[in-house]
Amino acid sequence: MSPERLGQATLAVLRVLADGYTYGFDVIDRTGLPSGTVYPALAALERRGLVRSRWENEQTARHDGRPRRRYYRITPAGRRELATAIAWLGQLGLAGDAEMGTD
Amino acid sequence: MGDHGGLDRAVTSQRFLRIVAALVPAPRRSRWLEEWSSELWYYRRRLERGESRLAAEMALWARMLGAVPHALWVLGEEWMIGSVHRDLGLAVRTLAKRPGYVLAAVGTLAMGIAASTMLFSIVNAVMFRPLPYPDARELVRVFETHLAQGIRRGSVTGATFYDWKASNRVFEDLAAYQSGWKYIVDAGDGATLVPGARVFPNMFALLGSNAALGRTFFPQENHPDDQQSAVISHALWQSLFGGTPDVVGRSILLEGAPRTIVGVMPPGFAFPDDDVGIWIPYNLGEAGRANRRSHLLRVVARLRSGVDVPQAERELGTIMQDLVSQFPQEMEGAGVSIVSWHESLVGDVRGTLLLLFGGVTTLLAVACLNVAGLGVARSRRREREMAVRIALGAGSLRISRLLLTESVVIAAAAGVIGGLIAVWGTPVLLAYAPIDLPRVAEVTADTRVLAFTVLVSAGAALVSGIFPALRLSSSRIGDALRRGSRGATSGDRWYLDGLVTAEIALSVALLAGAGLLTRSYANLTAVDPGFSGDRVITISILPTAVAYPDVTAQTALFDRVLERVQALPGVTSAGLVTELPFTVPASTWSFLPEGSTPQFDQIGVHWNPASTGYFQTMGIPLRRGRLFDDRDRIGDGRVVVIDESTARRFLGDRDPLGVRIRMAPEGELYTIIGVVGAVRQESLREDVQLTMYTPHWDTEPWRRDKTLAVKTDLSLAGFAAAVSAEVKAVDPGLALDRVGPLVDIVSDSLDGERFRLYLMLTFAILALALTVVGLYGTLAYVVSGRRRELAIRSALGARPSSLAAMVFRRSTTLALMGGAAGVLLAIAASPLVRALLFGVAPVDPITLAAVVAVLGLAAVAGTTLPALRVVRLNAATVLSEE
Repeated sequence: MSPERLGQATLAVLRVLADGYTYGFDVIDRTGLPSGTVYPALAALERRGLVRSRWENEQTARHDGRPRRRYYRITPAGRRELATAIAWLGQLGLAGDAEMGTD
Repeated sequence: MGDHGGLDRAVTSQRFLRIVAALVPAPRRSRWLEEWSSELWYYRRRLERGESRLAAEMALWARMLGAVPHALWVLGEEWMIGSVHRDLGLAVRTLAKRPGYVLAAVGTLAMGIAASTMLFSIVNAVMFRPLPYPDARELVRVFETHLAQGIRRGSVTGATFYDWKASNRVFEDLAAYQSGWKYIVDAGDGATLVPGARVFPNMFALLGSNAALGRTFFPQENHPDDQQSAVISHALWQSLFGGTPDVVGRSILLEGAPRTIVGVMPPGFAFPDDDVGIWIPYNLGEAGRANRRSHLLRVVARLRSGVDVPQAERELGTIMQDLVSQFPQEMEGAGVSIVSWHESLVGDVRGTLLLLFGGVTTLLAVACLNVAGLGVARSRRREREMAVRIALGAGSLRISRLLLTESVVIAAAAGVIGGLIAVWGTPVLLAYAPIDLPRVAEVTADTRVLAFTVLVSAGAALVSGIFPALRLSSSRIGDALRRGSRGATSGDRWYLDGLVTAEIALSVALLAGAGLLTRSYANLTAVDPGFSGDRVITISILPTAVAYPDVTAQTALFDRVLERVQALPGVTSAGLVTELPFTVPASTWSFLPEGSTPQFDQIGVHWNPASTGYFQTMGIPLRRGRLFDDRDRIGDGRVVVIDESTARRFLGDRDPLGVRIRMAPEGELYTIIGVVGAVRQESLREDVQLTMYTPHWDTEPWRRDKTLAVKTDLSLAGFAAAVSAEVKAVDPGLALDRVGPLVDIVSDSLDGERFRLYLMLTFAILALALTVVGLYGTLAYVVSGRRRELAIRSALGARPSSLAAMVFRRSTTLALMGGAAGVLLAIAASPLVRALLFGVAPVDPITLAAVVAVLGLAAVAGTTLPALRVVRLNAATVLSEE
């Protein structure tokens, strides 16, 4: 998969996940992107194996009296893809863009 | 309270999410909902810790609204990747089992799409395609108006033109031109007639157009290098010079005088009309620049950037007022009107195109409704299939999607077929188009036309598919299994009735439009033009100014022509006229009886030099006095024959014979010697033209072109050629034009009327046919759905005729409702046709009555078969089916 296939928004989402954030709304907050963009991006990343999502154990959540959450993690393939993309953007002098939204 | 409010908000947002979740396809719905509610739960908790109540609430809602695009995205994704292939395959397989339905639906839609695409490609070329000049939006036509005389778009005098040019601040530049005639061009191998224009030397610079080869004119007036130059069109370069690159610098004879070609314009350049092949520089002499009486110039201007048409019109209006007060004698009542160049080209045909486009759109709508009706009836028959699908787990959305996919397949097929028909059919249609439709040479299928076709097909898919899809709500399907294939539901009937009523209404409106045009056309053909073209051929003879510079030479030529032609076998009579009816826009002169004071706003009279034989040949009756004879050639006094409308208008009850008149305030005196019948000079639509005739030898040197009219008792075939040969025998260098029967000229003048009449009639008939089919379909469907009920009734003793009456009642109700709506629609749409009508009001009771009668017949046609089916119903068979 060539780096240019990763759109800027998708790249930003991946980058936030690489920084260790795990929940959809966190990604929304960190990237500043609208939820209508972030969730499709997450779904696309997951389908390409760059991100994996899990649902929290239901009993644990129920025990704490809160709803269970879905959390997203970047996969090793995702990290590789992100590194390639950032390197590629770096060649173009655009690396800053990939840092977008990560403070 | 705080906790309680939080709970309320939680409940509200949960409710909102549930509603949005309905968009998400079932398999992914619960997970989607869970993720969103959970994230929102945490989000709210976080907000409640920090933000103020209001800020928290707003942030929450802002975040929550994001669920909508996400849900739509999931829906779209599911649709796209999940099942498009499967759905398409299924749709194609399902449709393949119903070739009759597919044929009907695809055929109907393809016809509608083809017709509307053809019309659109014409509308596109004429109205929307950008003009072939840079920044064409800034180009305007400037007219002089004399509203009191009904002149709204008049030409301009030389003096006024230069006054405008000197004192305005709204135009970057102005230029004038003259066009509308043909030049005799000789490139060395015989004379050809080429439509040409005389343009001010700055015209090409003003238009911003450059030559493809060589140069255009130097913009300075009277440039020494442009005294005898000419610029030719790409088309003429190809046809007359075979496209040779060394054409620049070549010398040709134009009207017998040498000229040098200095440039060739690029293909696609046209000015002012599509057919102009040659441009020559036009310089007004000293006298022309000072002339305030002869309105000879057509004016084009380029607006300064930032100036719009009303602004320019205001400023020029002020300038014009000053001029009028300065020169009241010459300019009393003069005003200014400015329209964009585009408007001046297409303004006249816009009405026709709008009407036709409206007509074709209506036809397309009827076609879509018809296919929708087919679809509803068909989906009803497929209820069991659908019920089984639902029982096996298909959601109602899935079912609707399946149906919509089927209509997309049908509409796509129809779009391809219709588009192809349009590509091939448009040139055929244009062959019948009136010749004066501007810019039709540019009609081709471009991307805009393609986009239109795609859009129309998509619309057709939606309109024809949405009703059947809506009909299949899951709750209803639930009943289907229980009900079996028995009665049609009342819901179906509402849908079908609605569709058919709408079809009837649209068809009636279309019929009314076509009916008005029919009446209008009939009125036009019934108009007496004032002459009879029976057994008459005409030939325009165009001598050059070089060979025939003065009236004496011209008269000698035409006398010899007449002499030879009259000696031909089979010639009953022959005559000459300067402006044959229907061929040249008439120009006018004054009509000033001796001793009367000139009135400035007086209506003009057409001066048309003609020979005595002209009146006899054309069947124009002599009412009083006499026609010209050879005695009039030698006498000093000049003679004139006027038409009866001129006599009535200017002389009232006074005996016109012997009255002496002038054509200009300081002009010669003419004695009226005869009165002839009035003639419609411009067209059948226009009133009779006030006309005065002088003998053909009493004319002005520049009016040297004449038309020869010859009446024969031989067959017309070959006769025109024989006469042409005889004319050529007098002088082989004469150019001849428009050779043919006079009746063709009259008939050609109605081309435009026929074009729109035939198209509208075609649309209306097609729409009506579709509507009859639709009516038949819905009645047949209802009858078949109620077979059981009808069978029981007939078993209980109802007479077949009463059952048939039931069917007829239903059809009558539909026809009445649709008809009434259609009449209202027709009345509402009447402004569309108003300007195109002749002798009939836009809301015409007779037309509407005729339309209603046609509708009645159509309704009977559509009802008879279903009614017969009811009559033949065999109760025992039907009931035993159960």
